[in-house]
Amino acid sequence: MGEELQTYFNKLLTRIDGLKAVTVTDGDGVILIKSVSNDVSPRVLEPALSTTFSVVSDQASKLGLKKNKSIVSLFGLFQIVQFNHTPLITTLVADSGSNTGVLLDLGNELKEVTDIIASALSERQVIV
Amino acid sequence: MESAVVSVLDSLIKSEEVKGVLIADEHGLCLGAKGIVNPNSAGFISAIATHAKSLHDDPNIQAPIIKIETEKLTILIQNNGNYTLAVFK
Repeated sequence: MGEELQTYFNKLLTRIDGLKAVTVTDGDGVILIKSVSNDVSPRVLEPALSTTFSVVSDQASKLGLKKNKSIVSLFGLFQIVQFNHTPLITTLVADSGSNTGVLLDLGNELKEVTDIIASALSERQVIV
Repeated sequence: MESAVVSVLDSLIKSEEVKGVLIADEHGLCLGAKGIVNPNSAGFISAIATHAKSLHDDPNIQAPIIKIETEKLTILIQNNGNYTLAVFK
């Protein structure tokens, strides 16, 4: 199943215009799955991305607007779209000019995938 | 500011046979939607318009109007530079 997931994430990079990297991490920033395009440095996936999002998302959830679902960060070269798929965090890194709406909609599709990973993780924890 | 967008959408949705309208910005984010349109489709609508525009390089030519026909609906999409309008009929 791991290989299938990896293939799925690799295909995402070619399917979505401007998408450069995808990661699924846990709340502590431990990478479970990642896929990075060949034309960018792997350093775009700064380890602090997920942990910072984790903190910010928790704070945003206290704004009285129900639970925070996603955060979009726009930078000069890249944009980062992150999803709170509790207990996991999905991070998309794309060109700053690429279509944010498409990336946000991708979150709904990725939720189904992260749910599978999360349930596999919780089953494993029960066994251990 | 938002009321101007809403009034344009309202006037469009009242037109004959129009079932839904949507406006998206240059990032593919939904600025407004009325009727049967799913606001989540804003990104795809703006991506379709951007791709169609890239079919020709001449900036003097008006942006193309894209017509998507399905069994149930006809979708008309046009991009004016920054904004994309979609009409579902």
